[in-house]
Amino acid sequence: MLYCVELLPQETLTTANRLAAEAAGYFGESFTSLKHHAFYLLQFDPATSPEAAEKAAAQAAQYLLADPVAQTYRSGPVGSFFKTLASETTTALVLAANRPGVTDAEGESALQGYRVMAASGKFELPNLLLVRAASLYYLDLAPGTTPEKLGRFSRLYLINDLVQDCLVFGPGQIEASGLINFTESQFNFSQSKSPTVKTVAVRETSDADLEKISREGLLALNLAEMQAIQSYYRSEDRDPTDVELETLAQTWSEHCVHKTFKAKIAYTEYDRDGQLVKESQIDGLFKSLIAAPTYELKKDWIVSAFVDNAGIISFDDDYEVSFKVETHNHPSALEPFGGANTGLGGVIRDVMAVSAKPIASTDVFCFGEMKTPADKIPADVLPPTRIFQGVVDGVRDYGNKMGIPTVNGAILFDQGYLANPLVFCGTVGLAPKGKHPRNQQPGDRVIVIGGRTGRDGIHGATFSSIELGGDSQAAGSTTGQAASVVQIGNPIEEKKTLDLLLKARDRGLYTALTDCGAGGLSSAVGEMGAELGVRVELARVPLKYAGLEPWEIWVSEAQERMVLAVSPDKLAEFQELCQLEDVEATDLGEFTGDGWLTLLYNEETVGRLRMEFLHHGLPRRHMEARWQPPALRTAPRQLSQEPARLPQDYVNDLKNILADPNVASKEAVIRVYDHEVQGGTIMKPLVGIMNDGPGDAAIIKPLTNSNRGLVISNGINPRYGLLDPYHMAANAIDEAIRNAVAVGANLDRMALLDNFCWGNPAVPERLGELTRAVLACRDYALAFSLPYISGKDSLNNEFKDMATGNRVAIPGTLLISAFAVMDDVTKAVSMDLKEAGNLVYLVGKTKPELGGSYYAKYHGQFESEVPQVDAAAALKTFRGVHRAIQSGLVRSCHDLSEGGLAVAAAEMAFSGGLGVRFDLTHVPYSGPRNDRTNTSLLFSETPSRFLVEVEPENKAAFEKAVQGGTFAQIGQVIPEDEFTVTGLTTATVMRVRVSDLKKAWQTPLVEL
Amino acid sequence: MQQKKVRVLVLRAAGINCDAEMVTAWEKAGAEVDLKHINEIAGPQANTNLDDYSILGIPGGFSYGDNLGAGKLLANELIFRLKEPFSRFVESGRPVLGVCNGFQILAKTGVFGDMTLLPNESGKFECRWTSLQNTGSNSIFLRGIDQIYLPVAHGEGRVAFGDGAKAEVSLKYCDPDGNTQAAYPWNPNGSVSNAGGVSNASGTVIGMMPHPERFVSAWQHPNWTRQKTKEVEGAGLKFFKNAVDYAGREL
Repeated sequence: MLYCVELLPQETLTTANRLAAEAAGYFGESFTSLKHHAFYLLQFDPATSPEAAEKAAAQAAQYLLADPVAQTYRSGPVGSFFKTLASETTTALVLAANRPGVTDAEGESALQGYRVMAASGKFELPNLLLVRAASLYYLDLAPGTTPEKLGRFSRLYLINDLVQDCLVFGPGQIEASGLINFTESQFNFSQSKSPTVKTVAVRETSDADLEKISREGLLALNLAEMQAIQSYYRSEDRDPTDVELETLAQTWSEHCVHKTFKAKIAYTEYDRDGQLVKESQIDGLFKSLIAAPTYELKKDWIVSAFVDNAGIISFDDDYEVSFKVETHNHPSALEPFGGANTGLGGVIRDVMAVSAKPIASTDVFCFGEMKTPADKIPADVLPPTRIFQGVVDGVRDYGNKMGIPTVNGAILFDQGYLANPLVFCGTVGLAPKGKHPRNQQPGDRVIVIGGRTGRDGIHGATFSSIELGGDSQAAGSTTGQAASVVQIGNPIEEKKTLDLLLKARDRGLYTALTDCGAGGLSSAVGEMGAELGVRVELARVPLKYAGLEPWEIWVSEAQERMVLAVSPDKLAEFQELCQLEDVEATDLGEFTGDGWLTLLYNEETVGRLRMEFLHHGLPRRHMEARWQPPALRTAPRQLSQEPARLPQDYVNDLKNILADPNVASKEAVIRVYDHEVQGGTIMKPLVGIMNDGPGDAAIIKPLTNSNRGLVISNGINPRYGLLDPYHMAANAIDEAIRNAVAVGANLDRMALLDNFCWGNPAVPERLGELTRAVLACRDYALAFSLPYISGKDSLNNEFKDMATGNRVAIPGTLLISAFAVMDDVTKAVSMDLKEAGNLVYLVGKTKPELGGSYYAKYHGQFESEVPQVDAAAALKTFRGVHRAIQSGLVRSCHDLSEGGLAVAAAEMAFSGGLGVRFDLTHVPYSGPRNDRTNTSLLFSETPSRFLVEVEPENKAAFEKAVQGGTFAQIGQVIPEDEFTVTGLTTATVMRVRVSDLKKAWQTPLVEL
Repeated sequence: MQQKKVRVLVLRAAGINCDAEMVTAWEKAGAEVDLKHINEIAGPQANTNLDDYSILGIPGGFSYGDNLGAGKLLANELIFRLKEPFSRFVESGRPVLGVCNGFQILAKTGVFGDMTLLPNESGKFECRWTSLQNTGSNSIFLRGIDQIYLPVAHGEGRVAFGDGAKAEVSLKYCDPDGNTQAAYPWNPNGSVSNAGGVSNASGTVIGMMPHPERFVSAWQHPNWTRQKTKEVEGAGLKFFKNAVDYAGREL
């Protein structure tokens, strides 16, 4: 009993116009216009009379689906509806819908809305079983446009094949029967076959077959791990069930246990000539280089580092703050919207899982270059513009709907990310102290809340441990597994869950809490029951549709779910609260105290594993890491031999760097995120007189009755990593710190997060780069006395091009996120120049460091090192700048990073709507005399430097505050629209209108 | 002297996410505030009577994900689950403030007649500050407000009227000079007549896309670091104080 409703807008919407523009580009002159109509399929109870269904569909359209001011509608039974539509329509037609089984929030909402209407008693509405939302696109195309061409267009611009399906008809070629079959197939996805559990023979299996089992099942376990499983089952005297094998694969996945970061590493280092210079054994990158400094530093304000879902530090006497950054790279490569959407949704749940209210989010993206020509994009890889748009939309959708301000981030473009984009999402949370229980007891119930479980996201954890392209996607297309790893989020489900959890926390209704992320219930329940043991009835898990195998239920990564331990005496109160908040809660079983993981399906045991083996049976990896500095690609030039450059050359250099996509304004992206919701964003991502300058760090003031706040910043620069990952890491740390210091943070209560994205660590050279980066993480954490409280690694970011057989790894990338507690946020400063007549100081020493710089990007590599961080000098600078800001002596402050002094000064000037004049002869310099050139002083990217604006009457006080470090007054703020630099030989080396520089900087990232 | 505090009910439901700020704003304005889920007002778990309150605030967010159009599903709940108490509230002249999604919800209940909010002309969600001018309406929320600087953050804020509209445009987007013909970005969504806020005939109900509750403290202003003398409070607080004063005086 299928009916449909089509909404007819009275005007063409802008989104349709955007599509129309794409269509015009694609079809050329054969295209005239495009219309997009929302379309709903309503499945009524088979017992419903046609008259009742007809009337109900029309009432649903009138009172629920259509906007009475802006839309009309037509409705009817699918058969006659499509026959009429087919006979009346002369244009081409595309019917698009989510694939059966993919989350359809719009359809679910329509069903809810219908039930509200039905319950009101104002209508006589028959029972509606299911609603599916779809889209109709009418394209006015020249006759003869083939369905094949239209199909290609649809897959490029209208749908993503992995999660959506479409049916296309050329102009006037519409067949009603096709439309009817397509819509009926929307409702025929649940299989009613009875679930089965298979046993997999491993006890007598050869090594080759063990590897085959792993490969074909997408288990991502290596031989040693399969052998450990084999020997466990030999001792148990039986073979594993598929449920158990999947449980082990999820729990032991790189994604969940970080095998590389736990491995014993034999590290060797060579010089450029291939001579061995160093050899060492590293007892676990994580334990000995990331965690060790944190424990060594013994900060008493750390509440939780590394052990919970997010790192936690103390905020004030009553509150603590948490921070977690995650990546969602593989899913975003395949389905950018869904991947980024659920990436942010996942990290928000990490913060919810420490019983905190999310108060801010950050996002950092790395994409291929936007202008990549189509013939340079490998098959199976989405165009970077499409990935960019989808990822930004995905983060916007989830963040805005959750009501969490997205306050800080970065976007980088490099061809190394073409096939493997990186999507880092971070979330900060606030919770009352001591309110997050970790106290599950035998007898406590295992409760799952939130979204229902479906076949979405199966094998996400193991899939992320396999390279993209080639084998995995090919295997995926035959088994349907690569498609199923893609998930679509439903942020409102998560928002409801959040509302519920905060109430349940305040009433003390649970004893432990975690989220369902990678590995789904298997990871969440498995971890919560690691000490006690747990028994779960899988048949009780609420499903989106029937037909899931027990192992699928157990490992599905369906979104928006959390698992709680609830004491039996609190269960009724908890369930009542769930009902009020419209959150589904289901009792799956109990924590036992027997040390076993016991899985039942309809009371029959389908899995039984010792927790000890599940969590400690994984053999430790031994890996090889090798580092040798990259050979220089061309003979390096020397700074001192650079030909004389004219003022106009420098102006062009500066404009080029300002317009470089990595430096240029990200305003178009920042504005689609709600960065003001919750009302606490007191230092916004865009600052300055026109609210369009690039702020250094965000500040959140989370409590209305306190001026205490939280500074959030990040540092990332993969360009340096191409030369030396050690210094890349040091610079990322320095950048995160100096961004925070620039707005007024101090180092005394600052913590760091480390997120590594790398290629395949089984390649010794890749692991060598990674190891070098981690070594710097240890050295600089200790030097700056800053602990890590959380981190994550995403490895295997590689792509195998099937056409060429080439493997491409991303540039090794480290994101450092910093967050710091600021006692009084009203002392904060922004980076925009404030007033003509003020003095401009440069704090910190400049060295001739152009290696990996943006100047070098446009002029070729110079014979100068990648910038290096002098931690002792940096600390003096950081403390001095902080003292000055704290004393109210600073009107604006901006750190020097990409493009060095020239870019920083330009950004401060155009953000403040003022001019600036400065003299390079005053710039404090350290390095060979010959390398002290206008170029190196303007564009060197030496870290740990700031430009600071000071009022003339505060000159002496400011200089006293920054004493101990290196500083000099280099210029002043002027009222004119002018940017003037005096060079070393006193000639004017640059003179340009500030407004022209601003125009260059505001170059759009994507030209549509 | 006021003996009893004015009681405000702030409504929430799945996807409402500006409720905490709105509660803060009403509290700063001197009201006693209850934040209630729709299931606490209607249905089997109801424990709250709309009649006990003098002011109703409907905050922003994405109620029910804005599926089926911004605000539509929660508007239908007001129509189908709370019809009588809600109509009684409005007709008795008690102030109702709908901000952002709250405005979309109010519009879709039909309280402003044939009026709706369409997707922004830019086709994009927009978060930015803009200025608004009081058109000189009788809205009880706008007393003493001439021009005001407030943030907007929405994707469906373009006001459109049908033939049977029962709304007065009481706030118009304008540039800093007060020009109410100013185009994008001052009019961030392409609203007809630069409409940023509309009121009912009696001036007791207002729906507005900008967020006054996000500017109740000086530190929320985007340019506070440029100002040498800081304001004591955010200008948006005036909306809340006006309503609380009115309710305390007239009801």
